[in-house]
Amino acid sequence: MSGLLEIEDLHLELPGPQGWLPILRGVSLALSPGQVLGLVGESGAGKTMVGKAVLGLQPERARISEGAIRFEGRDITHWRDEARRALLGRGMALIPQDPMSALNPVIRIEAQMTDVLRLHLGLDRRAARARALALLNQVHIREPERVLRQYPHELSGGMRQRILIAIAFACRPKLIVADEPTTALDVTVQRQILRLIKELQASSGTSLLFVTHDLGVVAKVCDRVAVMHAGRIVEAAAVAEVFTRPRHDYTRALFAATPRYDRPGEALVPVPAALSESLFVEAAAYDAARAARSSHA
Amino acid sequence: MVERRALGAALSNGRVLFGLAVLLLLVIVALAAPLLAPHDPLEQDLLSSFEPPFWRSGADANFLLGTDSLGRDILSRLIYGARIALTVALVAASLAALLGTMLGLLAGYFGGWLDAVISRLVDVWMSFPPVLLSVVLAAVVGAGLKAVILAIIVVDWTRFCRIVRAEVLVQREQDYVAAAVTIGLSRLRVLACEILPNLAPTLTVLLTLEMGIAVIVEAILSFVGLSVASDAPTWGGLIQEGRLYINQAWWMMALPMFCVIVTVLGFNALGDGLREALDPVLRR
Repeated sequence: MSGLLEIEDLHLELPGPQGWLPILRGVSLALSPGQVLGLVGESGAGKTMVGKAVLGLQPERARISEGAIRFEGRDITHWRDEARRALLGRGMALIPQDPMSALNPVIRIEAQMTDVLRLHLGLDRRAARARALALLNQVHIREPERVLRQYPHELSGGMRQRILIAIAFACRPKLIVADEPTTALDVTVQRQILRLIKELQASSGTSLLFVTHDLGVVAKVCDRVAVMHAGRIVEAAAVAEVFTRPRHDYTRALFAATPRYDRPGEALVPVPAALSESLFVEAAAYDAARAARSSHA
Repeated sequence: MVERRALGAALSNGRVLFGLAVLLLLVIVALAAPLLAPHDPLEQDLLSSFEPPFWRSGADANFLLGTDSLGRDILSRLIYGARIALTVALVAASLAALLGTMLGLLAGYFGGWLDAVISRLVDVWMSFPPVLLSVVLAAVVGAGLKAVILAIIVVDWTRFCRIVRAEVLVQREQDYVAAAVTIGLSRLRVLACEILPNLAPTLTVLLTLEMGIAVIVEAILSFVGLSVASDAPTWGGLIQEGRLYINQAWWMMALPMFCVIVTVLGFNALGDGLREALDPVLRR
């Protein structure tokens, strides 16, 4: 299985009051063409940071101390500016979390959609407009002509997310990072958006790195899933396998903590404090071992 | 549509209407000065000096607002003064806005040492008393319209720089900026095409207020004789001349002061009104 995206032993740190704080502790992932990988975990597990690091959008003060990110076989870990920009939009794209703020409030939809087309595909204004109309049709937006003339605040959250999805798929990128694309939406809209993302992904053969905290979403959309905790991947396997035979205690605990609409009588079980504690202790031990290793080296 | 709604809000605002009316009047007077002025503003007529204005007994119908010590028609001088006031207001305020906005954008967006240098420069700059700074500047560069404009730019770019920098710091953290970066736009393009349009309301308000300030600074500089050539009709110059005869002919000083006050009031009302109309938080 030749990987489109390979993350190998990625360590990412942010400056803290007492030296560097580890955010990612040796994350390894592989994503082959056309595959959908779910990245789940609780808040602060580092799942969003993985997505950002892939896109090269990690905070400027962050440092990648170890490991590599390979895209189509090229090591892009430390690519900056020009080289990285050539990749963004064309090779890889983002579906952002909050559709309400991810569109520029003072620019018409047309300009926001055609920018990426003109920049990467070199289309002229008319061709870009025609392509934008086709894209809006693909994401099932009615009256695309009118929508192109509108400003973001005139559209609903669902519409805006559809437009952002259209922008992400606009240049047929090989990889799309979706950072909790349905979290900010209404529950009724969530399902439509998920279906839309899945539909476009399947028809275009794009790989998808799907960051979410919602296991229900993972079950609907993903082929494989990686469970993260405290900057480490505790379990990674095919969705069917993880859902039927979760191997790691934390994964089991996450399932127990997920509300089941089909079993309304069941009480919710939070992740046990002892388990959470032991995982953090493990992470701290990992940091200590790593620090000792680097001081010996 | 955003523009149309904002325009509607602006035009239903009393202060905006008042400001626009004053500004429009000023523009008409300045453009049509040769047609409106009954006399040449420089024409001396020593036989009819110190003519009183129309509301005083013994007024000459020829000189509606009276004449000065050299027999020059005050009304004509006020009308021509509007030309200089308006030129300074438009040119100096626009150029100060341009310089300040550019530096503010760079400081706010790129941060780091560039921000440190520009911000410290602004801090130091603002610690000089502005009027003193422009007086010194005009004295160094030499009197004249260009010197006045230069003095205003040099003093007032800091107002724009500070506010624009702060605004960019807010805007650049918005998701739409990150989204623009992820489609592969360059940093300069993001700054110019994504962030700058979001500053338009702020800049409009600042620019309008700055025009009012420019009118005052011009009046001050011509009052102390550092503006255009001393016989040219400027409002500040008229105030300064009138001051000499304040006990005999108070209107010689009061009339140009009235012009300055109404003009500045107009610009300020326009600026405040626009701020209300364009600010989405205040509008709600």
